[in-house]
Amino acid sequence: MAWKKIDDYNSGDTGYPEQPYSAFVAQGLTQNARSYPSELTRGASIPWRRDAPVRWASFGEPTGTIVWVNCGANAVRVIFRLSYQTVDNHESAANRIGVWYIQNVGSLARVLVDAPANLSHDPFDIVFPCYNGALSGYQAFFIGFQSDPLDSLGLVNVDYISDNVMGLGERAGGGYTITTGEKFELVVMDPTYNVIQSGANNAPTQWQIGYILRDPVESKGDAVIFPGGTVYPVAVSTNPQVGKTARGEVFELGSPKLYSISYVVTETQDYTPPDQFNHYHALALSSVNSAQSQAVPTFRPELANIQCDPYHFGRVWTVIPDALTSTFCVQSEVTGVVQVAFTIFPLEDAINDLTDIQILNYDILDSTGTSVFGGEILQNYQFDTFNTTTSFRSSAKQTRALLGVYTVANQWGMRDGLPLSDVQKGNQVVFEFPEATFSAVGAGGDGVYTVKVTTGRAAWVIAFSARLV
Amino acid sequence: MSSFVIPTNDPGAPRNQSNPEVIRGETVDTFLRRDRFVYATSRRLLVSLPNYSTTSSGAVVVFQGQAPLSPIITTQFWIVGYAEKGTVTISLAGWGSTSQVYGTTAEAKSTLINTALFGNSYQSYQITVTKTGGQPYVNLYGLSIYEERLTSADLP
Repeated sequence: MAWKKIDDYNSGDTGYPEQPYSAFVAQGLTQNARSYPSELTRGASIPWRRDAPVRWASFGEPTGTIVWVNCGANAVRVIFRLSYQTVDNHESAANRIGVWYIQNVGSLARVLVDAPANLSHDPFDIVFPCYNGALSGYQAFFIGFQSDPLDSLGLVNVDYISDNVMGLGERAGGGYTITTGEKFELVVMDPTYNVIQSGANNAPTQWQIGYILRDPVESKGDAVIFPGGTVYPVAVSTNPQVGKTARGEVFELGSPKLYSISYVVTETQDYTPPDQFNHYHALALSSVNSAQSQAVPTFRPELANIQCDPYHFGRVWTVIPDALTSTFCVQSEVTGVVQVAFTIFPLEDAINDLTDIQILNYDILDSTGTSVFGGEILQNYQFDTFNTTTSFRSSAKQTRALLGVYTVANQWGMRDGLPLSDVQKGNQVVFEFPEATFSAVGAGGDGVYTVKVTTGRAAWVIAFSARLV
Repeated sequence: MSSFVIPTNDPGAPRNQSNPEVIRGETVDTFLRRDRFVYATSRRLLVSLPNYSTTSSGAVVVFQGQAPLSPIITTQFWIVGYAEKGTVTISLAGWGSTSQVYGTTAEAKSTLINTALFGNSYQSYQITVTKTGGQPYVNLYGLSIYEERLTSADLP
């Protein structure tokens, strides 16, 4: 399939026998217009830093991020290509490392696909069929991963569990060595070894470890665990002075390194056939007109689509002059409206309902750095402050990274990952700039534009996209 | 009928169709030109990078992934960026590489790359962001790669 001259469809330049020229033209134009959805699909690639790819492990629930996809008009499927790699070829009894989990944030429709070990970094395609109905416009998708426990790494002593911390000790002959660093592991408590639950809570007996800080002297360490003990108060012993120690077995969790997410959108075909052999072609021509008019904005390429990066998107976004920026160009001079979409999690505490506002300043700069609109456009939002499953406040012993905020290099476990239960706490923002004329890209930096968004309050942004409408 | 060219801008919807039983030549001409325009200018964004600042002398950061190309043959790509104090090197497997060097103050750059990649496939890419000599860091406010609009030579 490709764009064709209208006389390519028939055997000769005159079309079918007895076919009037108007019918011949209408048929060819309609054929072309009907090929738009398959020929002019959108797609893009969203990379993470190669030297700092996200590496996700999540036992309790899927953990991941959000991507924004411009579904145009009536997308019938979105094909995601995940570029991921595993550190070894270990798989569970189900012949997988876990499950890839894609959910449309709006409709909650989702697909689950077994994730194989992928040492050689082979591309992995997941088709998201829009079976709840065609999707149009901007759509947010949660792309996450849920781990299977893989090989056993040995036995450890569990001295205590307090808040988000589990005290671990090496066990003679246990085979597990406590080291400082990020972990993608699971501790399964042995119920026969002194595990005492406080209160009537049904505390989990399996805890994911995101990070361990080893004691400089003893063969012990503090492990950051998820979910936190603040959610499930648990004591290994009711009286630590007694010196009871529990035992757990440590398992490797499936934990793919994710380098990039690519996607392609396929839209519904127009199956209304033109009345090709009728002499009166007003209907067919108006259909062509409609298809073309719809195609002009619908099939414009996205301007930008940026995903979590440990050093800007996907981390705390601080006050001015810190800014979110992205560069774009258009392929022909166009007068239109730039629309940006992103997912934001305000991080500062609410003061009260009236003053708890997030002020965002939007701007588009031309190639000389001058505002297209003569200055920033201020917009106030009444967002709820993001309260994570466990506490947010930073300390040396919290699962901050497990909850999606990656702060300091090599300090915390999961980068740019968010439990599915927290995804809905994000604010999906779609902002439209005033209409403006953008010049076609040219040599010397002409036609290069930069979207700039600043804020007066710390927030976390995990996805950002821009398009022309 | 116009010659076979692709309009620079959208010709707009045809007018003067009030009589449904009459198809004017200019209407058909507009249809044809608009058909080419839509097809030639609806080209894909391949990848865009987040804003980024290197934090130390000699810092290098690499992004890699797979970009889905449009179903038709792609012969040119635009690389556009806005940055200061650094060099951005872009390479694609089977494409070659190019670099954009930015000065001490933020400036826009655009580079048109000729290639001969075939469409309807994924293309591996690798983008390296490095600093230029003498500057402690590079500020990248954004960098994006797009397929270039088609020309009449690309169409049958």
